[in-house]
Amino acid sequence: MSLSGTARAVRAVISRSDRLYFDTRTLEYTAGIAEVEKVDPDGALELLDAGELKVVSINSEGVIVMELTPEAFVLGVRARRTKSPRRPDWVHTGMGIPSGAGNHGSALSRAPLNTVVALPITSALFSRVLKAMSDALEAYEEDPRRVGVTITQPGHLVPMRALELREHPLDTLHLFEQADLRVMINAANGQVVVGTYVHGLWLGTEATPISKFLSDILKGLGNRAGKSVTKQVEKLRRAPLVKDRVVHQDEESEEVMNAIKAAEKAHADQEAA
Amino acid sequence: MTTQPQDPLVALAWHGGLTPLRDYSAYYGRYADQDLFPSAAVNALIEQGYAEAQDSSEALRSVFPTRAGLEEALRRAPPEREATEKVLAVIGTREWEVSLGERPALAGLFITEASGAQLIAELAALLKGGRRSHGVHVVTTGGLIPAALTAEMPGTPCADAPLFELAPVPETVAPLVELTRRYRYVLEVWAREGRASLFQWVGPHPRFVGHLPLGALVGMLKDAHASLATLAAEQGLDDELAVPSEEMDDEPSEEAAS
Repeated sequence: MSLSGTARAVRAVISRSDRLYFDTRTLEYTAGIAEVEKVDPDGALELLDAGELKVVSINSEGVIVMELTPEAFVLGVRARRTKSPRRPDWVHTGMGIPSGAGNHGSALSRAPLNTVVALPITSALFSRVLKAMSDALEAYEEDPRRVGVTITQPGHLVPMRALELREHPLDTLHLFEQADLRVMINAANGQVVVGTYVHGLWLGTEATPISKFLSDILKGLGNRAGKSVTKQVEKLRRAPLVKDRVVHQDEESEEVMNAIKAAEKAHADQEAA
Repeated sequence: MTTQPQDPLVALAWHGGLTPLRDYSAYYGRYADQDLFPSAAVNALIEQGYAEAQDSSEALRSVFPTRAGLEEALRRAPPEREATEKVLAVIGTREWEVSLGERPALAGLFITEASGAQLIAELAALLKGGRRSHGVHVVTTGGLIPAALTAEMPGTPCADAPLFELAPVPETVAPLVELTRRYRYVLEVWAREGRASLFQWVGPHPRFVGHLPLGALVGMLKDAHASLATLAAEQGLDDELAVPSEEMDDEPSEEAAS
């Protein structure tokens, strides 16, 4: 079935986040999580008729959440393909976990997300994070009330299934939604969290030990990591608050996390069977 | 009380809520993802009327203490706290995560004389120390008032932060509130913008509560207790907050510095 130009354009817009919302109260179609954009209803209906959209959920506030079929998603991304303005050297990713009350009265805030928070790493961007970490650790050592800081960094929100594309994720990152990411550095407990605000919610990753965050990035950068960056990372990893981080009494217990994962896996296996 | 109580009922009151594993074989502390409880123990609490499960339309039905459960927990394990550590008021929201039907819980900052004074002192120090272009974390305590009690804790909505309210703790529920766990809350203060973002930093990931203008936060702290209003005046907080942004003693922005 041949699609009109309007429908192809709508498909491309939806592919930025792989989310299309239809609000049954306003009869409006919108796409996007961080960058919400109204889309042409005729184009959206044409995609529905062509079987290129499937319903993910219908929430209690009357919003129908849809995503593209895998094939349509690939076509949408392909239509958006442009040369990357600057390919990052690496990307730190984590599943976005929503929390908060959301925008009061906004139907979108309760819709389920399936999004990865992606922090691109270039030499300049990484240096900025490293400096903030170093300053935060120093400030905490000088004054234990200074437990952490948050800096903002440019980043992206990437649909989960984008990680399954044939292309290298670093080549396609710029095709997905841009977002001002917050990098929360908890110096007191040697952890880092990356996230942003969408629909009045916080969409953030799990807390990662700073030592793991740095090791993973350094490993990903490989020989692209300059001597200066490597030296800064090594210095940070040797810092007592990072090397032997202090676990806060409110952190999760490993026993419970393992039990949750085992129960989720058993459930998934059962569903698959 | 800083460690998990052994008695399942006292532990439920302390955690604020329990969530089941996918197969309902056990429950765990809902907010910090700590401590496994056998389902049999939790089911017994429900049968005794000490606990109630969330609406069945949810995928996983969390369990929360009832008023009778809280009273029994208080009888079994009365908490002991210094007067300055007792919760005077909650600066929080009823629109956060789960509710039991029409009965919401109240999540937010637990304001005691001590925690309120500490917050005021830290906010004053931050505002006087130059308005940085990054967010600075201030650790304080907060928690969750169970749905079984919130009807008895009417709050005053905050005009400048509609999601938030100041809810004083009345004498009738004060001992029951003291049963609940104090969790780590982090205020991410953006002094340059005159606002803060509140997180419950508990368990595997921080949970966002809401954004608060600093003026609104300080106003609610002052309304929470006379001693806090006096302290805020002594620290010159109102004067600091009244400084327009263009007159602030700015640090060079990180972007400009780089």
